[in-house]
Amino acid sequence: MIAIDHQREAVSSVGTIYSSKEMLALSKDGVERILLDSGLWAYLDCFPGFGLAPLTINENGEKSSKKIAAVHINLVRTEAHGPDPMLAIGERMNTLVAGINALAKLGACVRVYVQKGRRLPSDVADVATVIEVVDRYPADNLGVQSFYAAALGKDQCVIGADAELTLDVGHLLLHGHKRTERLYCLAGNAAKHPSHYSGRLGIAIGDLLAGALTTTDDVRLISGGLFSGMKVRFQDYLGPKDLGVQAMVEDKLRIPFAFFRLGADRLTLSRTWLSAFKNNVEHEATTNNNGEERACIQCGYCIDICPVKLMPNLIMKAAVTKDIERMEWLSIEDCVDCGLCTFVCPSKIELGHEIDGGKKLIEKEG
Amino acid sequence: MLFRTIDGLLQKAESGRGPIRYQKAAIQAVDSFLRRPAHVTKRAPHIRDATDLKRLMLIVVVSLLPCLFFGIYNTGRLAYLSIGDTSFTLIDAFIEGSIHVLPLVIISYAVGGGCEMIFAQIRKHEIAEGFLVTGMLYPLICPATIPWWMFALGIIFGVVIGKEVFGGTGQNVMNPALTARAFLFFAYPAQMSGDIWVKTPFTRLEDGSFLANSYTTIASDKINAFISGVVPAVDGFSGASLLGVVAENKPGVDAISNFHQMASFSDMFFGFISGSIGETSTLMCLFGAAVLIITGVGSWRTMAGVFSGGLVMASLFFFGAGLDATTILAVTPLEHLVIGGFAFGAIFMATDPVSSPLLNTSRLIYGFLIGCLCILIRVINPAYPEGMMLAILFMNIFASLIDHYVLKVVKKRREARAGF
Repeated sequence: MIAIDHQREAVSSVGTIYSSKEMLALSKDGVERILLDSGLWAYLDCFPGFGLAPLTINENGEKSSKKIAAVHINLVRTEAHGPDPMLAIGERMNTLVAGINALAKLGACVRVYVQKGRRLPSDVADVATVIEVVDRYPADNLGVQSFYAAALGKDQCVIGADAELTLDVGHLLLHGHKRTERLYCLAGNAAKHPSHYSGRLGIAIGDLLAGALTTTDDVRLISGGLFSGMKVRFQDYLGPKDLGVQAMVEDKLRIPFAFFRLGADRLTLSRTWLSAFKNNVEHEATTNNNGEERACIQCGYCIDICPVKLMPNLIMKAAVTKDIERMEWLSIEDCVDCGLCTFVCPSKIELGHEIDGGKKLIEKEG
Repeated sequence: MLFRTIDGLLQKAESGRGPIRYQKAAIQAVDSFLRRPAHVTKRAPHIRDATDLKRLMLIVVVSLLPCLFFGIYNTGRLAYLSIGDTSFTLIDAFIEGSIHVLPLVIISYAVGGGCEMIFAQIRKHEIAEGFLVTGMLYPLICPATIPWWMFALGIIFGVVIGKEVFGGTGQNVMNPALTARAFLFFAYPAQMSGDIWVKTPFTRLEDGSFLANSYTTIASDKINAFISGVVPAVDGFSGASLLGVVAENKPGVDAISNFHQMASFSDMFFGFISGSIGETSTLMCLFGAAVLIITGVGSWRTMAGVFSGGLVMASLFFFGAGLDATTILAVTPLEHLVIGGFAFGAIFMATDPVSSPLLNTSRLIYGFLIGCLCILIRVINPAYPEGMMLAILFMNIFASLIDHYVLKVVKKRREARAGF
């Protein structure tokens, strides 16, 4: 869809090109330096917390108090309509392995997550533990993976890199310059031809969407998945961590007698609609709230769905009342922002948003 | 057409002029009940589950329908039996029951819903859906003979004191429908206990004679025939509730034989006994339980807890008392589960999520304690032959405490795993 003009492709500077032997000899500090200089360090995920991955020596020249307990290379994507990481890797398995080798230097423990049934080159298993996961949201979430892999001690964190970032790191080491291509997805019910598109880093959303939508009025553009993505605008650009755009028509349709129907096609995780008892139902996911906000009735749906076994409604109540002690007692730091509690809530409470507010409050108060 | 009218009314109400502005909450409630609201999600997650409170409450109301229909039939059936008539058809009984039960359902919804509306209007928020269930539960746990004014007073108390003063749906400590019934039970004991369970088509006057009622669908010659003594009473028919009979603890009275003469186990299970309108049939309650469990709306843990708690406590009393006991101690554990409001309370009252604890483990404990307490009150306390209402209300108050301790255990386990 987007023809890359190779003549004008900006390749700023060619840095050091590493041979495989030199790569193996790289130290942790060496990898840190390369990633910092190239700017890729900023794109490493870090859990728990909001911040960047901790450096051995921070910018003030002090030893960082946080320690990296594990490095997660995430080759799965479970959220609907994200580009398939294996497709992005394609023929570039060598680049990927180079990236994994480099990132593996950052932590004592390295885990590679891959979808069940997908094969990886055997040399990956030499440097990392390969973990097969089922294709179910939020198996690709760093926090969820960390929760089930091993317990984190105090001042420990895990850092994560997805397939694209690992490829970036590998490419940088092998070729001496940054990779600029990306695999994007264009999806959603307003997209004419939902598909993968290959483009370059930092593409304008307007360019990606030009002529690709069935309608442009009252369309919501989402960068990322339906559960965790952000609203974006036509004039925005896609950054290194963006996966593409989902264009969804805002669903303000007032379905008559909606609550009385059998609901054979409703999207639901509860069992109150007929669709819950049918296999392979095709649901149409829309942006409708499916109800109005009400008080919490303690139904416990959020507790049952939480992938890290938290009590989202109790944390939400503590967050609303700004009770920091209670939030910490309820292990708010383990929340992985998956959005499932908000999704299932029959009272349509924005649990995720309130909990996020609580986390920010704790961060602010130190 | 209907929606255009609603749109028009809503517009007028929102313009804030004229008396219609006081009905804004009510119009909004009707509107959002008939049509899915147009609200869209504000942020991630961008999609939402199709289930909302209206759907949950609707499922509970549907699960109550078997009990309601059987209650209507049984009310009519008992009315016919009370005049010695056994030749009535199912439809006869149903019609006679309807004219006594349906007005109660309507009063419950109208008066209780009115209270909700007033509070919603004053607090400037939408009417919460919780009342859909309360409005249906309340008539089912009252006797069919209850005077309408008293019935309306009860639901006002239940909604206002049981729920709204705490902040409305989701904030109440105790189950509003049970609060309403408890209020009536203690405020008007004469009308809420004793031989009050059968809505007879005649009134017993003070001098011992009878007077035929006009508010009935039963032919007046049938009633007169019974009053004048031409038709004898049905053998063994009594308006007393089984629990009332078996709780009688007087020397020389063989309460347990009286109890067994009144009804067989299958009568108790299928609900051909007297009692509050909706609670008599354990079978119908089980149908409701199936709906609640299959849809995941009611907690099976609470239900399982109540039944096992009741079974354990009743077994203790039954086997502890020995086989020669003649009082309520001799009621078998299984009989305890099918008489009175045990099944109805276990399935529809104890599972109310707002007043029950939050965690799954707590719900098991909570249910178990309700079961134990109910049998304990029934057997030990002669003043209250029916223990279910008080057991549930009592445990409602302890729900948070159970949660508190279970949460501590959960927290400990989490920490142990994290190795802090």
